[in-house]
Amino acid sequence: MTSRLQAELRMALASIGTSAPIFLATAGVDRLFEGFVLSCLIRALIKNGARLEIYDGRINPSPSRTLNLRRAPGRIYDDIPGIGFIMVEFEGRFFEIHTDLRVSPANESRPRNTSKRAERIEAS
Amino acid sequence: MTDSTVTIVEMLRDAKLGWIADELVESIALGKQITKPFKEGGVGRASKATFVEPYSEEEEMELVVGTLAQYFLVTPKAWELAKQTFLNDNLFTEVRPDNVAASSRASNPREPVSLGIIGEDGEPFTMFSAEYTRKTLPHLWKLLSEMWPYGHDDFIKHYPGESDFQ
Repeated sequence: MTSRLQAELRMALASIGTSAPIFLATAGVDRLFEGFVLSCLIRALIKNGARLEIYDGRINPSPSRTLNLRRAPGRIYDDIPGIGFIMVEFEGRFFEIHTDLRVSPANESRPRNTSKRAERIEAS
Repeated sequence: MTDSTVTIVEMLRDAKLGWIADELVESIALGKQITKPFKEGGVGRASKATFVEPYSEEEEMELVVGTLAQYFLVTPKAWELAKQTFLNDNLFTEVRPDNVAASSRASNPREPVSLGIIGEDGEPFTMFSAEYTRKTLPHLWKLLSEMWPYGHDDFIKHYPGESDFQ
């Protein structure tokens, strides 16, 4: 590697912390890839006749036009409005697609209201 | 590790990208698995066995440049594709299980759907600045294509074209 290449690479890498902070931790890059996998999943579901709608992350979820992924794993029943999920109707059954869920002991489980009928899919 | 790899690993640590440096060091230390004929005691019929060998200089540089390209070039492109998928107006429609309250606020179907990431503080997380997409990313593509051990033309075959990042 030439000294010119070394100097330019050093400068480019040094600028990443401020221009693309998502790269400062492995978790950030995982989320980007997760978003991509999720987009592949929803395209496949639609191609196979599923219907999809985004919901927010409240205890009593409402339809939303924004889907935010968690930067770190969380619990499905956390009342975080900004973090949503995708409600899917496929062959007469309802499913929820969530990303970044943390597995907890059974006694911590507290289902969200829509989950009485919908089944959950962990997309990542 | 070659001198070039040691230098790049050091640069990554200086740039607070130590997790990538750790990943590279570990992968290189593990070496590569190869399968080749093996005769026990050097006699008898040869069978196939798996061996671990160190990477050659070229292979090591391929691993280093390939890792940087996957993270810094390919992942942002994958995220952009994901965002474009979500922007498709026809993708989302009304899906209401029976137990969702009838009073649930209906989303405005004319409003574009957006995809984002939320940090631990509940605030939207900044992923890439305009400067990264406009300046750093194309520059990194150029540098990595120069470092690719099999030449610029071969790099283009493996990673999206330069024009995608300009």
